[in-house]
Amino acid sequence: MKQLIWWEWKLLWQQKLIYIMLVAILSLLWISKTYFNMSIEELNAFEEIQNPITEKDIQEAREILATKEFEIGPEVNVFYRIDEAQTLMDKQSTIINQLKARPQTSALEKEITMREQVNTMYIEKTEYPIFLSEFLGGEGLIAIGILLIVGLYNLFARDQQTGMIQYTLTSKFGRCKLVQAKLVVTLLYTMVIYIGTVIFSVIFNIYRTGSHVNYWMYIAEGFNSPIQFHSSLSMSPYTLTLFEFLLIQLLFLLLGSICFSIICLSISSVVKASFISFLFSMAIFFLPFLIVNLLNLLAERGWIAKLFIYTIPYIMQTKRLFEAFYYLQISNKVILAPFIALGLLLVIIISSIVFLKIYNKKWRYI
Amino acid sequence: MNELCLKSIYKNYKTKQVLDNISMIFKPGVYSFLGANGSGKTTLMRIILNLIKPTKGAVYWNGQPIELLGESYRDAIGYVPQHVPFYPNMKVYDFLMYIGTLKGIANHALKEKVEYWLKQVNLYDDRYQKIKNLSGGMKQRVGIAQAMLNDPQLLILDEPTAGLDPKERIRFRSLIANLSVNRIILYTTHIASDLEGLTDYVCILNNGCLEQLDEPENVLKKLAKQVWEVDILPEELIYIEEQYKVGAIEKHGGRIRVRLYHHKKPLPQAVMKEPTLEDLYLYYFSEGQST
Repeated sequence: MKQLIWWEWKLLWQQKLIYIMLVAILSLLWISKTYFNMSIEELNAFEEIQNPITEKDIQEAREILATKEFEIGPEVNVFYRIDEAQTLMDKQSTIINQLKARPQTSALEKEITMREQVNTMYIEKTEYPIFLSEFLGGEGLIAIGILLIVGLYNLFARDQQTGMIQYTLTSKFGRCKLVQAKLVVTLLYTMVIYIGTVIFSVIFNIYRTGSHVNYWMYIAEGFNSPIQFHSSLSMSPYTLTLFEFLLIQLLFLLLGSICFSIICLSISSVVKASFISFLFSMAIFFLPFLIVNLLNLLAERGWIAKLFIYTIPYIMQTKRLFEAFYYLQISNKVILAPFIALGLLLVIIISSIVFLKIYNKKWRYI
Repeated sequence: MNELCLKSIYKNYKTKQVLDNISMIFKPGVYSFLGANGSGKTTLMRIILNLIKPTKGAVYWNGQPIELLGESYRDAIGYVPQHVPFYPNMKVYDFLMYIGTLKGIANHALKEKVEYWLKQVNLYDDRYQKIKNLSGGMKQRVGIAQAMLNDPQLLILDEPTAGLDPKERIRFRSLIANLSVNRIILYTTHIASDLEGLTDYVCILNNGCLEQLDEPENVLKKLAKQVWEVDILPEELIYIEEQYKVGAIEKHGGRIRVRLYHHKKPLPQAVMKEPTLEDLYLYYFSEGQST
């Protein structure tokens, strides 16, 4: 079996399309890269802030920002950030008051409790963790999707197209063992793509944010800041630090990648033509993004938008699950979106594996 | 001694009946399936290989239904498909190693087997060539080598000589003759001359029905005193073709030598000939007509 896995592994990496896409992705990233810029004075101004922020800091910042004679200096970002921290707290309070005004349900009570625990009065230089998180949920996610598709869409379909399937079905190991080997290879390939992307993201974003030579020393900072400083999560009801959020994002990205790769493999085993397999895999990954962006669904946050956050690419992106209080209520039990997404991924992974086993056990040439 | 048994095999594709009540027993020896294109040869081979299910009936290997045997049956099979499939960029050696792996042969033993069969099929010097760059005959030899890696008790060759030049066909026939000891070899073809001196039994399939299964001499007896050769003028050919079932035609000086099949002497100058397997094929399948 090990021998067969090794062969399947070797055959997978013989696909030239993987390397072509890899070069294309890296080239695009290199061409479109942006840098983080901040002067040393601005960076030093952050050092003078003591966390957590006090009422006095806020008052002082607001007074300075309101002064007409205020001379725009390097420390202005710090004052804006302090002001933002208070604004975020105010927004949470406003939402809590609005929620309290409605007829109370167990879901509302849960949301109020969660929002009451949010504390945004803590600031650091959050650029690196936010850059990293945005990259993982953006370019990194797209890169993983594309590389998984080009690596896996053809895994079974090529056997069918070349006729090699005739050997598989008439040799001792047969289709079932081959399915097992291809499944192992799929998981290994997914891990390689996932780990490669994460390592690349960490290094590439250090490069981007560290391009300002003085930022290097602050790279490790910002991880303890509340996720509300993440622009997409400013209204989030979750009490998480950026570090905790990054860990959750990495978990969803990993599980989502595994889930998507097994789906690609299942499609490849069902569809006989490589091109059709490629189209189906592309549709599963990119169609949710396309529909949501074309119809501008996320801005509306209606029920259709809520459905889309549970599609595989949006689960992998993670931030949509945390941006608002999305939940499912079963009798009195309130299940939060991240738990629904986690359950969904596990169900899809398990059912895809079961499908692969059952479908291929009864598989015939014609 | 191994035994392969087909019991009342039927196969339908929608409304089309491809195989009609085929029952046969095979013991070690070379069995040649003769039939025109679409006669059901490949379908029958695929049913024996358990690649497709018969609509009705079953295949038994040593008394056990092959459906139930699974791995142990597949371990006894060697299969050479009509057009040897391969991954385009694979080299001969890698291809054989891969197929050997699919056959569950351990790595250390596999290397020896691959080298042995590369030498047997005379491809050792070409082992690092990409298969796509090989000639048709060389590809067929790769096909034979892969089928023999697991020392199969049942070797199935589906039109292995299609597309080969005469020299390669002769070479291929010698190779099969060497492999035929203590094995059941099922060989489908529509090139009857390939079977001369090679086959132990001839099976004639016509429109999905088994017309004959017998030793070549017995099969040919049916054609005894029915094969004639006659030299005619070129302008007489149309008349001859209209009147008689015509086989091989060849130029002979300014005249044409025609082989034809008839139960009595067709023309005064006709000479009776010994029937060959090619005559048998042409007798049954000329212009797609059955007799």
